[in-house]
Formats: sequence, structure tokens, C-alpha cells
Amino acid sequence: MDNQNDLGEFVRLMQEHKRIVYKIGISYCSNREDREDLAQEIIYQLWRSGHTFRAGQKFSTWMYRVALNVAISFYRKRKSAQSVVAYQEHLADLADQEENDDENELEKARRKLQQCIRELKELDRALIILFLESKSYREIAEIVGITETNVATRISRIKEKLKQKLQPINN
Amino acid sequence: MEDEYLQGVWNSPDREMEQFVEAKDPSFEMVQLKKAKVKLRSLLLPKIIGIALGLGWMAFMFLLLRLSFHYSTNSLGKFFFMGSIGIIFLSTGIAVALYAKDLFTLHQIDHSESVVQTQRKLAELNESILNSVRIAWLQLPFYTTFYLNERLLSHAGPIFWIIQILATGTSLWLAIWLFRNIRHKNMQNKRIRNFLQGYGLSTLLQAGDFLNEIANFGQAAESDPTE
Repeated sequence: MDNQNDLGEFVRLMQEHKRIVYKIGISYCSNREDREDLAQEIIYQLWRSGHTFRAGQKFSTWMYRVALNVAISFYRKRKSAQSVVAYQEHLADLADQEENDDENELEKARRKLQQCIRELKELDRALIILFLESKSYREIAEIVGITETNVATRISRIKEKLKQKLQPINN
Repeated sequence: MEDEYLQGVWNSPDREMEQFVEAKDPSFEMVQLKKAKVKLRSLLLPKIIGIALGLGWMAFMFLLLRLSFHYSTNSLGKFFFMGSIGIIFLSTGIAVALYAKDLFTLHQIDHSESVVQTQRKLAELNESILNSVRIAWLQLPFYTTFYLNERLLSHAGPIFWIIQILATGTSLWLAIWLFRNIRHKNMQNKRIRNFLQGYGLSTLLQAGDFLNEIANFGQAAESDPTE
């Protein structure tokens, strides 16, 4: 992607798949400012990695790989300043609780689900995002780089964890 | 709880997402792209400064070596000075070169490979920065020998010798111990962890821990002991 046409095509594809960038951002960063930083970094790396996209490859599969890799690396960099991250997450959760007062049950459940996902390990988060995005186990295995059996077993365990955490809201 | 329920909650209307997705400005991505480039440059800056400082230090050592080679007479003092400074120059050079190479490779890494593959490569690279740390520490004892000369050696009293032997011996022991022990397989050692944390190298520790996590993740889930 190095000429004006490619740039136009890139902007179009980004506009079309922006939702993915947001969903990954919210799963790796609790704080809005960080999410914006991560979105920038994902878009930049997608642009930089444009040459690795092969014709015939599914765009969303390629995009998920780049975006998840960037998100995990971004999260790990932030994690090294652990106390700052913990404090920011605490503030973000407090802000969430305040906002929750005006929200309906579904919105509350969504926030709780997003929060529970952020409590998972980085690689497990990638798996559950892909599952929630209705990707097949085969595609998930291709994006993450583990076997389909492994994907199935892990997703079932993650769902179990989420179920336990979300139960109080569900009842 | 059904899968459909979880997926329904996940896909339920989200005001923040709608705002993000509906940002109609056609230049939005370009602005983001530009901002991200600036940010990346600012992230790289401290690392580039680190390399520049290393090169500056090497240039200073090189200048000292040249001056000593041309202007001082052959003596035991010259031997100690040039030998010590030469080793400091060499180990700094190797450490800077390894660090620069790893940073360059990190910058070039392909993010479109599978998540496990890319993250493993990134963690391995981060960890290989350990090699520059190990080599850099090897120069430590030579900071306690460059000033030795014939006059000092023949006229120094016992207090000098006690301090000299303690300083050289301790730094030699520390340099060898760190060179031998700062390795991936020793990352669980409490002393090594404390040392790396103390020197602000906790990212290297995390890289090591993450490598173990990836190894477990890639194995068949049925035999995963961490779950």
C-alpha cells in the first residue's frame, strides 16, 4: 500500500471494519484515552503491514491477526507500568459504575461482560473476542495459531469463567 | 448461559462504539495514522537516545585509547589503562550492537502472522535483549583497574590493597555471576528477579514469563496444568 489508490482503499476498508478496532480496544483497555491510543496503533500497524495481505485471503482474518497482535503488545507495554495501569483501571471502573446508573439492564450486562473479558489473560481475551464475533473454530485456530481442539477446549473453559462472573447480573 | 446470550450482550448497542464507527470525517484514518507515527517516533526516541549515549561513551573511550597509545610511554600503567579501557570499549560496542539489532528486528516484526507465533517472536526478542545486559555487565571489574600503575603498585599501603582487592574481587564476582545467571531458565530465581526489577528491567522478566505462558497456551489444552 504505497500509492494514493492504496491509501483510498485502505481508508475505505478501515471505515468498513472500524467496529473490530473498537471491540478489540475495549477488551484490552478500560480507559478511553488508552483505547484511542490503541486504535491509532492498530490502524498504523495495519497500514504498515499492508504488504503482507495476500490476494484471496479473507481481509477480516488478516485484520484480526494484526489488530490482536498489536493489542496484546500494547497491553503488555502498559502492564510494565503496572501501578499506573491498576490506578487507571480503578478510575475507569468507578466511572463505569457512575454511568451504569442511567443504563438499562442490557447495557449493564455488556459493560460487565467487557470488564470480565479484561480480567482474562491476554491470549484468552483474543479467543473469546473471536468467539463472540461468531468466528468458526477453524478461523479462530488460524488467527490465533493453535489447534481447533485446543480452541474448543479453551473457549469452553473461558465461557465457564464468564458464566460464573456474570451469573449475579443474569439472575 | 447460552452462547447466544453472550453474543447478544457483546453485540448490544454501544454508544461509544457508534460514535467511533460513525466518525464520518474521511480524513479520520489519516489523522490517526499521522498521530500514531508521531507517537511511535516518541516511543523509539528513548531507545535511540540509549544507543546514542552508548556510542558517545564508546567514542570517549576510543579517544582515551588513542591519546594513551600516542602520548604515554610504555609502562605497566599504560598496559592497565589501555587493557581496561579497551575491554570497556569492546563490551560496550557488542552490547550496543546487539541492542540495536534487536530493536531493529522488533520494529520489523510481521504482525500478520498468527497471534501465538508473533507474540512468541516478540517475547523472544525482548528476552534476547538480556544478552546485551549480560555483556554490558562484563566490563564492571575493569572500572577498578584502569588507574593502576607502577608507582601505585609499588608504594601503596595495606589499606589501598584491601580496598582494591575487595572492589575488583566483588565486581569480578558480580560480573561473572550475572553473565552466567541472567538467562531465561533462571528467571524464576528470586535474586535474578530482584536484580532485574531493581534495574528497571522488569519488561525482560515479563517477556520470560509470557514465553512460558505462550508455551502452555500452544500445548493441548487437555494437559494444561495452569488451568
